[in-house]
Order: sequence, then structure tokens, then C-alpha cells
Amino acid sequence: MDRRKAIKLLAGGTTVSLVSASPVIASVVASNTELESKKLAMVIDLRRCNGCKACVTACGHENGNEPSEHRTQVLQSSTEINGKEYVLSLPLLCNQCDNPVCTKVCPTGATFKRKEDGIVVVDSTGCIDCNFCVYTCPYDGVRFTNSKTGTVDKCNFCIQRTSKGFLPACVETCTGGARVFGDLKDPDSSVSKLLKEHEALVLQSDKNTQPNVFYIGLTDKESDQPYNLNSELTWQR
Amino acid sequence: MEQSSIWLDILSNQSIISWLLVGSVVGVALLMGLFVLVNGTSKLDNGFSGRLIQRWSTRSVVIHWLGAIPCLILILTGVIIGAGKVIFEPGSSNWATAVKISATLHEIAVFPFMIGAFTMILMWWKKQLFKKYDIDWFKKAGGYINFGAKQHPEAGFANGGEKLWFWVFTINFVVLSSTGLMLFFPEIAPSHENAPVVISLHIISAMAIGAFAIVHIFMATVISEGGLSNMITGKCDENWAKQHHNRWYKTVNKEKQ
Repeated sequence: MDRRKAIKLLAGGTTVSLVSASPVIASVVASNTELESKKLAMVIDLRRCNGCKACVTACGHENGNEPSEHRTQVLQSSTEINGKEYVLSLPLLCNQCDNPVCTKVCPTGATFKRKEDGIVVVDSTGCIDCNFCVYTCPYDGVRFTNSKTGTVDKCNFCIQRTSKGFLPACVETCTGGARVFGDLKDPDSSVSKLLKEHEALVLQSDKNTQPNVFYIGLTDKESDQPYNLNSELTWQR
Repeated sequence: MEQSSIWLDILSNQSIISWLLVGSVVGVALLMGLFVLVNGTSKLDNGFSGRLIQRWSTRSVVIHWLGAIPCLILILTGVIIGAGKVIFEPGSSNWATAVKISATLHEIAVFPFMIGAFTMILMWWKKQLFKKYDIDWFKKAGGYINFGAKQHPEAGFANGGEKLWFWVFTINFVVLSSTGLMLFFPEIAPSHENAPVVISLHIISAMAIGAFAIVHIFMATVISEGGLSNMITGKCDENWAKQHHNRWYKTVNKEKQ
């Protein structure tokens, strides 16, 4: 065998082995980018929520919203357990769903789920305020038309903070430590640990939206309720 | 109730819907252009006679354009609203400007359109009822195919194709305006369960009306020689009337005598 033939054969062999290995290489590369992306989530421990609404105030300050326009609200309600009424303070916000309906019905593509961290955002530059997202989202009241921009606004986990590694304003300010925030893909994150240790429910799981906001201490019956972020207060501190 | 309805599944195919929307207007226009290139237009066999017949009243012409101009605006802006995300790069300033301007124009154009379209339907529906001879018109594709023997199927005031366009328009006008009003006024907004159906129907009807409107425009301007004057002066050439609307032409003559 002359040298030229030998080199040809070698080159051929390398190509074949590279081609056969390509799915493996691809999967390694894919899983790497998968690891780099986060799945940001919030776990709300209702046992620790005292209904102080510091989160509502902090959210308004952080995001510059009018006092009447809320990205989050603490629903002050009551619940009956074994025939006895208890106070229920239920923080509500956009659920940053894994299977969101808003992104499917948005005609312009202004609302979408970010690949890097799973946050469902509204790009106010391309939002035409058609309200299709408002009509289809089963979580009433989490969206509103921002009176300053004239576009649909909602919780985005304080993207300006969290993309830099800070906590959302509501989590930072939560007096009872009820709101916990982190990356569900990191098994050592506080949210992952909380979900491992406690039973947590999402709101209206029957809608198959797969929310990323979890509640500890919520009963099955309450979790199925279509709570509205703008519900009338049933009591006031 | 689970929200993952068939309508929501349809809507999840966002880029397919966007391209179908573009196709229903631009694609149909390209197809019609190709048809004209291959098949040619429909010329008047005996040329223009110079004798004009009043076919449409001034009121009809005015109402037609009251509906038609906003209709064109609605179609074009609708395509940009629904397909801007595949035509432009989402997040870019071109995309933002295009969808915002389109949304504003869409809202401005809709009410004149509804008034014009509704009046047209009320004024013209009786003349647009299908007759037996219209079947033959469809069998012969209106005589617009230039290959083989020349033929001019029977037609009354409106031919089979025009009647089809009228009823497609009427049905989709009802669907588009009822779903559009629901989506426009929060007071009559659909429920979570119904919103995906309402949105889907609005898009599907828009595609149908868009495609038919393009064909209508091609027929009136490029394909049918002597057709356009009908909606400008309200008058048509006698030879055009004989060739395309023979039954109507006979009735006009009878009235004269």
C-alpha cells in the first residue's frame, strides 16, 4: 500500500467515526446548553405569609407601576378547615408557565417564554394591547394594561434584577420569608430543596399550564379555585 | 376543564399560521399572476363597442369603495399583525413599528368596513342568489381558461364566481366582525375556554376573505377586459355585458324596448 492510499483510508476512517459519533457529540453539546439554561421558579410558603403586602409595595416601587396597577397582590381571603374558618393570605402573580397559553395566542409574538431562564415576558415595543393573552390566561388579573406604556404588563420575576443574579423585589422584601426564588434545575437551590421536602401545589393544575409558582400549605380545593388577582378584599388588616 | 383544546393546539403552530396568512394574500397573488402569465387574460371577443350601459348606481359604487378600501387595509395590516413575527425579526425596531402601526390602522379601518360591507350585503343579496345555470358556469370555469374552444357560460347580473365571492364574503364578514367585536370590546370578551376558538375563527375567516379578495381584484383589474369601469363609473361596455352577463344584458334590452 502506497502512502497516498494509506492517508486516504485514514481520512475515510476518521470521517466515518466522526459521523457515527455525531449524535453522541450533538447530545453532549445539547445537554450542555440545556444545563446553562435555568428554570426560574418561586415557591410560596403560605404558612409564612402574614399578609403584610410588603411584596405588593416593593413590586410597585421596583417596576414603577401606578398604585392601582399590580403585578402581584396578596389575596386576603378565608378558608374553612375542619369546620373552622382560617385567614388565608394568598400571594398571586404570573405563574411563568412551562406550557403557557398567552404565548400561543399572542399574534405579534411580543409575549414569549425566554429560553435562558423560562421567564414569560411581554416585549412592550411589539405589544399591541390586543388582550388575547388576558382573555386566554386562566389566572385572572395577573395582567393589566400599563397606563404609562399602553401595553400589557405583568410579573416577569423582576427580569432586570434576576438576570443579574439578584432576587425579585417581592422576594427580597418578604417579611415572613414566604416567597422563595431560585433555579429548579439546580438541585441545591433553595426552591429545589423546598419542593423536595414539602408537598407543594400549583394553581388550577387542571388547566395543564404547568406553572412555575408553587404553593406550600395550599389545600387541593383551594388550588383548583380560579382566584382573581383583583378580587375584592374580604378583610383588611 | 382542561384548556388544551383543539383550537389552542392549532394556535400553537405559530409560524405555520403566520406563513398561511402570508400565503393567503401574497401566495394567492403570485398564483394569480402566474395564471395570467400562462393563460392570459379574458379579452372582449368583439372589442369595445363604445356603447355604455349603466350597471351600478352611484350609491352602489360609493358603498363598494367604503367597504373595499378599509377591507384592503384590514387585510394587509392583519397579515402584518399575525405574521410580523416571521416577516421581521421579533424584538427589532422594524417589527415593533410595523405591528404597532398595523394595529392602529386595523382599529381605524374596521368600523367604516363594517358599515360598507353590511350595506353592500343588504343592497345586493337578492341579485346574488344562485341559479341553476350557475352550475354550468362553474363547470366551464367561467370561460376564463383560454386553452381549447372559446366558451362563454350563461350568467345573470352576477356570474357563478361573483356569487360565490359574495357569499364567501358574507359568511366570513359575519364571522370576522362578530369575533372581532368580541376581541375588541372587553365587555363582551370571550371566556378562557372560548377565547382560542374566537381567535382561531378570526384568523381562518381572515385567510378566506383575503384569498378571495385577491382573486376578486385580479378578475376586476387584470383578467376581465372592460371589467374595472363598473366600479369607477358604474357603467360597462355593451360588448362586455353581452359576453359576461348575457342573461342580464337581455333583461336590460327588454326594459329599453
